[in-house]
Amino acid sequence: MNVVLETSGLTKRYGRTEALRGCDLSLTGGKVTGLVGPNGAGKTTLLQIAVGLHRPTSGRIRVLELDPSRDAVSLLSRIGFVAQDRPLHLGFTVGETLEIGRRLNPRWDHAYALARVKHFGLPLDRHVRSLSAGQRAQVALTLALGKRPEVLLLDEPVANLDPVARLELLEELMGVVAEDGPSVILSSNVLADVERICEHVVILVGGRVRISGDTDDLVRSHVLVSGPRRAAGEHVDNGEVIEVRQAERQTTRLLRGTAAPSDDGTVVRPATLEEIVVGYLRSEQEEVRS
Amino acid sequence: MIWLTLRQHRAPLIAMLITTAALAIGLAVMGAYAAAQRAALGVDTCVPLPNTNANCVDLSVEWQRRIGPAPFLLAGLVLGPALAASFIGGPLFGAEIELGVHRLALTQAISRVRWSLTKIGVVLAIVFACAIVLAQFGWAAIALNGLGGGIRSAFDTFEMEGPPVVGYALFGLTVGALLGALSRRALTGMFLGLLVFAAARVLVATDLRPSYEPPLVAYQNAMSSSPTDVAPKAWVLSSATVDAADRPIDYRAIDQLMRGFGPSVNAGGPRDMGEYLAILGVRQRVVYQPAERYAKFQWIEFGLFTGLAAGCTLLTVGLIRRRDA
Repeated sequence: MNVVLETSGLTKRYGRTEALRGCDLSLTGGKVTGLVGPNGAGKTTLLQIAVGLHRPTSGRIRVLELDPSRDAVSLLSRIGFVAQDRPLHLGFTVGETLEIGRRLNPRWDHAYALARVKHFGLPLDRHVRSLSAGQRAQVALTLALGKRPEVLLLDEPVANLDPVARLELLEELMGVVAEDGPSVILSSNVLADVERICEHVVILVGGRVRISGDTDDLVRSHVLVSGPRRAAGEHVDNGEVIEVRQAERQTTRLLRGTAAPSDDGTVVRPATLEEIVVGYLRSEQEEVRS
Repeated sequence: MIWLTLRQHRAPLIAMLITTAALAIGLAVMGAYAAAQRAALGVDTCVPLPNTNANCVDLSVEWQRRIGPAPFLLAGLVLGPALAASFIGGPLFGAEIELGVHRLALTQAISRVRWSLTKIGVVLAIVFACAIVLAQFGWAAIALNGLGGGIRSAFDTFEMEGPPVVGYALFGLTVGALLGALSRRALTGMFLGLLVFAAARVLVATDLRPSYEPPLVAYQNAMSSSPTDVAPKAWVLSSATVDAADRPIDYRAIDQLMRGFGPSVNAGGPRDMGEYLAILGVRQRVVYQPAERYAKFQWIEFGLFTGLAAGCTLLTVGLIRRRDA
């Protein structure tokens, strides 16, 4: 598998705050990868460094084997990016917006871009200002896809969209990837969306990669063990305990590994992706607190 | 990228072109009208009556009534570059960065240097063209100020015509662009751009321009009514009455000396008070820049502000190239 994004010890400081601290990551192409994590985990910073908007304080990053801060122009002709809040020139028409892509990118596929906006029923002479948030998202995505990128990086692509527009955009993304399209790396706060479309998940917490794995593998390798409270800590688990939650009468543990049900009322069931992600995020918060 | 720049800044650029055209037409028409009316009324050829100059004052007042508020057009020549600085320079990068839209352009296959240089270059070229047009109206400035009489300095129109106007416009735009990019705010760029522009203009006018070349010094009759008698149309930097040792001398000391004037006349000395004082070494010392240096000074001023503009452009491009976007 070709590696599309690789970082080692990637660190970014803004003044005294550290947005990324020694982030090590390796992502292979041909799939949809979701970056998840709480606000301030470093998702946006990682994407902005990957497209050369920001420069790392230290550490190494390669996107398509290029250094984004040194080979920005050749890299940017091969990757598409939609920044947070999907910036567009509000005074431009849809057609003029696509014209930006056509004039600034050597590999621009104008016919494809035009076909896309036509497919979504967006007239070329409509001003971006008069479009709905969902339509603007489609225009921004078209501008990124018109480059025929090898990698598509999206920062919170469905934030602030109504549920229908969000589903449409996600399905659209899946369709784009399916037809021999680009690898996609997207950040999101909405775990349900990530679960729906991402084949690979990276959990970022506090500027570090907590875990990175294929969705199927993660789901297969994690179980949720619930049992009576007294059993906590005594039960022998076959794996690493990620997180323990104590309720009044019951203990729930997220395990990486396997566990056998026992006769003291302990129940074992596969964890959902959401439970896994939340488990990792909570465990990190515990660490920070203690 | 040229297309994008023109499209993106279409509104302010069109506004600037229209303003420039309106100002140029207004100056041409009203300048010619003012000159014609002045000649028709004979304001500058008026011969005062034996006991009063009221007849000439009347002509001058009548001329002012006929041209109406036209002299206010000259404010356009003075404010034009400053407004270009504020309204086009400040938001050039400031507005885009403030809204985060610069990330759209900067993630297309284009280098930051090309992006920033093209933006600033295209707008600079248009501002340059407008400034060159407006720099041609020195004659209108003279006509509308009623300077045809020739009693004042050639330097009166220094900031209103010729190369300096172009230099001011270039500097105003680029300093606004730099401060907008630096502050990442359109309004801050506009405001600070205007402030720094005005401060630089004042500083140059008061502290640098008088010594672009060492000023000349001339001495004349202490009783002379005008310091420019010795150097017509010169820019007088200072004039003072001095004694034989070139020290300024106050009126009390002159009063003291004048007590000897009567006896001196009686003894066959000069009948002119000034000539009498000159014998005692008291003269008027005039420090000035001669009118012939006008063109040279204008080019020096142009070079200075164009150099500042180039510096601001380099700083802006360097800033955008190196800073996190």
